[in-house]
Amino acid sequence: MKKFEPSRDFVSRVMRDIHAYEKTQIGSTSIFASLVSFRTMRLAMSAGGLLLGIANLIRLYLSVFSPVLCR
Amino acid sequence: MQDNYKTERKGWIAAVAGLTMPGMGQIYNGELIKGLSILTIYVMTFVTGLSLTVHLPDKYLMFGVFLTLAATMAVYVISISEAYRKSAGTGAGYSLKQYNRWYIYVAIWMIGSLLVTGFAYSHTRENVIQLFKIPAEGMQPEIMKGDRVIADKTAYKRMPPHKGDIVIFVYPDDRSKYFIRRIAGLPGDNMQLADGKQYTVPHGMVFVLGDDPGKSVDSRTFGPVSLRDMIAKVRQIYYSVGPDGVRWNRIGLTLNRPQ
Repeated sequence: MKKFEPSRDFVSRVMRDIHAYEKTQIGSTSIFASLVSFRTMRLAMSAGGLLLGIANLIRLYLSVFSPVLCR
Repeated sequence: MQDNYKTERKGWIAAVAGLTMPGMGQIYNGELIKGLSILTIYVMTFVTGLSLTVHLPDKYLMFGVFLTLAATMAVYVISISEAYRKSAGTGAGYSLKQYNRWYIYVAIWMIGSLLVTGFAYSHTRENVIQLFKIPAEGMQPEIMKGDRVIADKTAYKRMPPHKGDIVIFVYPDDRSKYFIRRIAGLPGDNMQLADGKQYTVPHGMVFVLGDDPGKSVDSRTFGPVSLRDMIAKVRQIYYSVGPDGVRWNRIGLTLNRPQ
């Protein structure tokens, strides 16, 4: 069986694609991964989500139950 | 290419995302269409619920408002729970989607939570149902100072005004204020005023009076009110508080009994 020898150009293109792919993955996960890797950040995110959730419920409630003065 | 990147969905993040907006947890889990559908169901439950509520008989109006709020909150809670449970089952085999980016989450949240739900809330307040608090005594004894009422803003889009209706309108002498009075005269009616003069209500206007003439500023003072300035028909008292506390016997009372 004849041994397959990829051309330099082929290897270069493959490596370039791999680098490009890795770059997108690092870029996409770094911020989020770094955020959730700290316990404090996880707590902060949970507290923020909880606050937004409560704010949403209050906003829903006030959208109806915020009476306007009428003389 | 990115779809081959394997990761996991964390249950607590899905729940937190779901808290920020109905459907956001599903979007984090990679179910964009389901997430947007849940947001739509949430908004439609609220808008449709209140829009159907105004068609209920007066005595069920309060019930309809509470039921709508409860149903809307239920959609919210169920969506969070569903997102949490779904993410727990993904393991480490989740392929990231193109929209699994923090800035896309923020963009979706801004459009969904601020614009879409904000529009739905203001639309229902401006066009369907609005609540009013009464700080004056001009409509006693039917409406007491401290009553809070449910007003139907669709009423006069669906039917013409009737004599005896209690209405909320823009005060002609200060358009930043709302007044509540009873319709005493329709266009073309001849009114007999206290000073004995005859008055014919002009076309496109109504004559409004307070139930307590001694304490009421009404059409005797500021003249007839344009039909275009009538913003709602008052239908039920949903809460009442006086100097001695909550007046439980007034909660749920219906209005607009014939004069």
